[in-house]
Amino acid sequence: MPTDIGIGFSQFPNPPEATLQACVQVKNQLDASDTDLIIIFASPEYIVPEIQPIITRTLKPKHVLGSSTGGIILANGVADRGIAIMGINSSVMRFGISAIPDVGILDMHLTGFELARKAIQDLDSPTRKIFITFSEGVEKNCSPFIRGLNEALGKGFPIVGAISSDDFKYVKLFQIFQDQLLQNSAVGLLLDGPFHFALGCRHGFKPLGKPRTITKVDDYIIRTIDDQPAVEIYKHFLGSAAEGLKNITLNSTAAMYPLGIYLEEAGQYLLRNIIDILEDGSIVCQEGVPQGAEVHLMISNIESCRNSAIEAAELVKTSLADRQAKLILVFESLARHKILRRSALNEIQAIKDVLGNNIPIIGMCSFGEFGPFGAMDNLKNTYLHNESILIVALS
Amino acid sequence: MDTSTSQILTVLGSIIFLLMCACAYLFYSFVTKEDTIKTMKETYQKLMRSFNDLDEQAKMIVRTDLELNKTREEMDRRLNVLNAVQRTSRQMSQALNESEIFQRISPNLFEDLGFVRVLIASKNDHHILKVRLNIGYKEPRVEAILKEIEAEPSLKAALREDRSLSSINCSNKTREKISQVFEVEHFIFSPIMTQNGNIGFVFAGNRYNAPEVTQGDEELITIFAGQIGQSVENAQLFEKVFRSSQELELKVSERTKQLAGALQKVNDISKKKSEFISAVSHELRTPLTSIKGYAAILIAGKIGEVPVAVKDRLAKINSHSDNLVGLINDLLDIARIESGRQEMKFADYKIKNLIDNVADLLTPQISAKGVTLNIRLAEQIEGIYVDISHAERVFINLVSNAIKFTPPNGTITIALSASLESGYAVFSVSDTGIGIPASELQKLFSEFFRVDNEINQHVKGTGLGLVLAKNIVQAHGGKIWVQSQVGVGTTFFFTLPCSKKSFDEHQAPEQLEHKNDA
Repeated sequence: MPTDIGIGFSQFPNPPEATLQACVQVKNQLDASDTDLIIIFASPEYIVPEIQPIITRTLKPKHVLGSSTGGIILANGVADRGIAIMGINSSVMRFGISAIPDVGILDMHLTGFELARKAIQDLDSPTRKIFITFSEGVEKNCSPFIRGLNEALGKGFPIVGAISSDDFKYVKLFQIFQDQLLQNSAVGLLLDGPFHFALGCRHGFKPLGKPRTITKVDDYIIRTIDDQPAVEIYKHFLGSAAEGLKNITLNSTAAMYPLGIYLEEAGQYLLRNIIDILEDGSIVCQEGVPQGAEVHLMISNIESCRNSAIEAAELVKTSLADRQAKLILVFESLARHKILRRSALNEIQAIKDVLGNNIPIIGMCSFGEFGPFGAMDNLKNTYLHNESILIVALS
Repeated sequence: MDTSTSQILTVLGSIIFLLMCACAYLFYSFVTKEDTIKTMKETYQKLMRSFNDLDEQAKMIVRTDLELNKTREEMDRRLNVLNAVQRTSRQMSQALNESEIFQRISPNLFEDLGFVRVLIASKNDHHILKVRLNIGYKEPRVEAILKEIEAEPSLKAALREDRSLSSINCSNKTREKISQVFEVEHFIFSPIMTQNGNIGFVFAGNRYNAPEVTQGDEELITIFAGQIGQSVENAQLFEKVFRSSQELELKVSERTKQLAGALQKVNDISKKKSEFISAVSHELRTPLTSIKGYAAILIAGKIGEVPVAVKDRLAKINSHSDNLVGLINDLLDIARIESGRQEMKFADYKIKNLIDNVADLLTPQISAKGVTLNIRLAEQIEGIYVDISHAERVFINLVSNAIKFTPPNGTITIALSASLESGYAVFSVSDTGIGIPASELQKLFSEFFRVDNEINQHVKGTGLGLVLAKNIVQAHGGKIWVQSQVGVGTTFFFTLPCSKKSFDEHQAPEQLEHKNDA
C-alpha cells in the first residue's frame, strides 16, 4: 500500500447524513480501518459540530484538515453545496498539520511563521516537500504572512493553498483542524516523503489600456493611481457602472474586471479583486498590493479562462515529465467560477484532458489562491492570487 | 617677422581655425540635437496618443463587454427564473386542490427574480381574499393591505379587468398609491383569473434601493399568475369531476344491484315460464293424443258408421288437433332448449344431404304454391357440425315461412356463402315475398309475434317458428338475423358451425344480432 486515495461526496440535505454518506464512500475506496489524512471541503451549511464525531467514528483519521467553500471542485464538475471528503492512506507520505486560531491575535508575520513551525514540529522530519494552507483573515495583509511561512519553511519552499470561502455572503467561513471547527484562522499541512509533485498557476486575464502607476497604497487599500483617486480607473473604463462597485463584497462587475499589478520579478500580472470603493475614491482590494507598481484593468472571457486552465495543467504535465499523477488538487477563484458558471465543467474536463481522465480530482473555489507564478521553476516567490486557477498534482 | 612670431601666428591661426571648426561643429550639433529632440518629442506624443487611443479602445471594449455580460446575466437570470416558473407550474398543475397549489409555490422563485416583498392571495369559499404566500410583510400589515386593496379603485379595476399593473406601466398617481399600499418602490401586481372571473392576485415588489422592474419581470409574473389561475381551475374541475365520478360510481353500483335483482327475477320468471310451458304442454299433449285417437276411431267407423257431416267435423277435429300438437311440440322444444334440458346430438353432416332432405320434405308445399326453389351452395364448404334434426328444423321453418309469404311464381332460394364467419357457415333463405316492414323486424324473433299482414290474417301460425329457429341456431353457437324490404322480399341469414373445433371455440352462445339493412 504505497498510497491509496478515496474521495466521497454528498449533497444530502441533512449535514450529518451527508457526512456519513461521504465517509462511507471514502472508506469503501480505501478499504482500511483508519485513515492517515483527510481533507474536507464543504459549503458552510454542512460544517456543523455534528459532523466531527461521524468522521472520527467512520474513518478514524490521524490528521484532519479542511475549509468551507462556495464551490466544491470534483472530477465531474463544481458543486455549489455539499460536503466532499478526501482520505489518504500512505506508507510513503508523512503529514504534519498545524493551526493558528484567530489570526488577529498575532501579527501576520508571526502567524505565518508559527503556522509553518507547528507543522514542521508535527511532521517531525528533517525533510519536507510542500506546504498547503487554508486560511481566513490573512488575505488583507498576506505578504508578511507568506514571509513568515518562508522564514520557517525556507525561501523558495513550495507553498500552496486557498482562502476559505462561502457563496459570497461572507457570513461564516470555516477552517477545520482535527476535531475543531475554526473561524478567522489558518490551518496548514506539511507533506514529506518519496513522492513528486508539480504545480501550475494561471489566470487568463489580459491587461486593458495604458499602464498606470499605483502612487499611494495602504496595505490592501489603493488610495491613488497616477495621483488620481484610484476609483478613476474604473470610472474611466466602466462609466456609470463603476458606481455599482460601492458597498459590495464582490459582484460580477468587480469579478469581471480585477486590477492587474505587474510584478517585475515574475514578469506577470498579479490579479486583485476589488471589494469596495471608499468615499475618497480609494479602492479596497481583497488582498494587499505593492506601492509603485504598474497597474491595469484586466479582462477575460470564458475561452481565456478555459485556456488558462489548460495552460496550468500543461505546466503540471511538463513538470511531472513521465510520472503519472495520483491526485490532483485544484484551488480556483470563486469569482472566476462565477464568470465561468455553466462552463466550469468544461474547465475541469480540460484539466482531465491534459492530465488524464481517471485521476482523482478534488479542490475548492476560494477567495484567494496561494502559490507561485507559473510553475515549478518559479518557486522562489509565493503570492496570494485572485481569479486564478492553481493545479497541484501529487505523483 | 621672425620665425618665432611666424610660428606663434601659425599656432594662433590654427587655434582660431580649430575654434571656428569647434564652433561650426557645435552649431551643427546644436542644430541636429534640436531635430532629434523634436523627433523624440513627436515620437513621445505619438506614443502618448497611441496609449490614449489604446485606452479609449479599451474603454469601448470594456463597455461592450459590460453590455454583453449584463445581457448574459439577464438571460441567465431569466432562464433560471423561467425554469423555476416552469418547475413550479408543473408542480402546481399536479396539485389536486387549491390549498395544495399555493403550498407548492416556492419563495425561492421570487428571490431568484429579486423581489423581497411578495403577496399571493386568493378568495376563499366565502369570496374573501386570504393570503396564501407572504414574503417580507408582518401579519397585521397584510390584513391592512388586503383591506386597502378593496378600497383602491385602480387595484379593484385591475382585478376586475384582468389587467396587470407595474411600476413601469401605470401613471405616477397610481404608482404612488400602489407604492403606499404595499410599501414598496417597484412592483408588479397581476390578477389571478379563472373562467369564473377574478379569484385573487400575485404581488411582487421591491424597496427603494432595488433596481426597477423590467418588462420581462412583468411578463413573468403575469404568466405565473395565469398559471395559478389555470391550476386552480384545473383543481376545481378535478374536484368536480371527482365528485361526479364518485356520485356516478355510487349510482352505477346501486343500479347494478337493482339490475342484478331484476335479472334474477327475470331468470326466475323465465325458468318458471319454461317449466310451466313444459308442464302444460305435457298435460295438453296427453288429452290431445286421446282426442286424436278417438277422432280417428270414429272416422274409421270402428264403432259404427258416422254420418258424413259428422265425419267432416271429426276430420276438422283431427286437423286442429294436429295443429295443436305441432304448437305444443314447438313450445316444448323451445322450453327445452331455453332451459338447457334439450340434449343435442352433434355430428358432422354433409350440407348437401341436409338441404336435399329439406327440399324433398317441402317439395309438395312448394309445388302446391307454385313457387320455385333455388339451391345455391358454395362448393368450398361441404360439411357442418350440427344436431341434424334441429338443423333441419331451422331450414324447414324458414323455408315454410318463405313459401307462406311468397306469391305464386315467386322464388325461394337456399344459399350457402363461400366464406366462413369465424369457422361458421353462413346460410340464407330468401324469398320474393311481401317483405316485412322495418318496424316489425325487431320483434320478429319474439315468442308468439306475428307480423301484421294480410297473409297472416288468413293463414294460421303459432308465432313460434322463428323463435325456435333462433334458439336452435344459438344452441349451435351461431346467430340469426334478417333483412327485408316490403314488396321485394325477405332474407334470413344464420350461421352453423363447420366443425367441432369451430363449435367449441364458440361454446358461449352469442347474443342474437339483428342486422337490418332494410
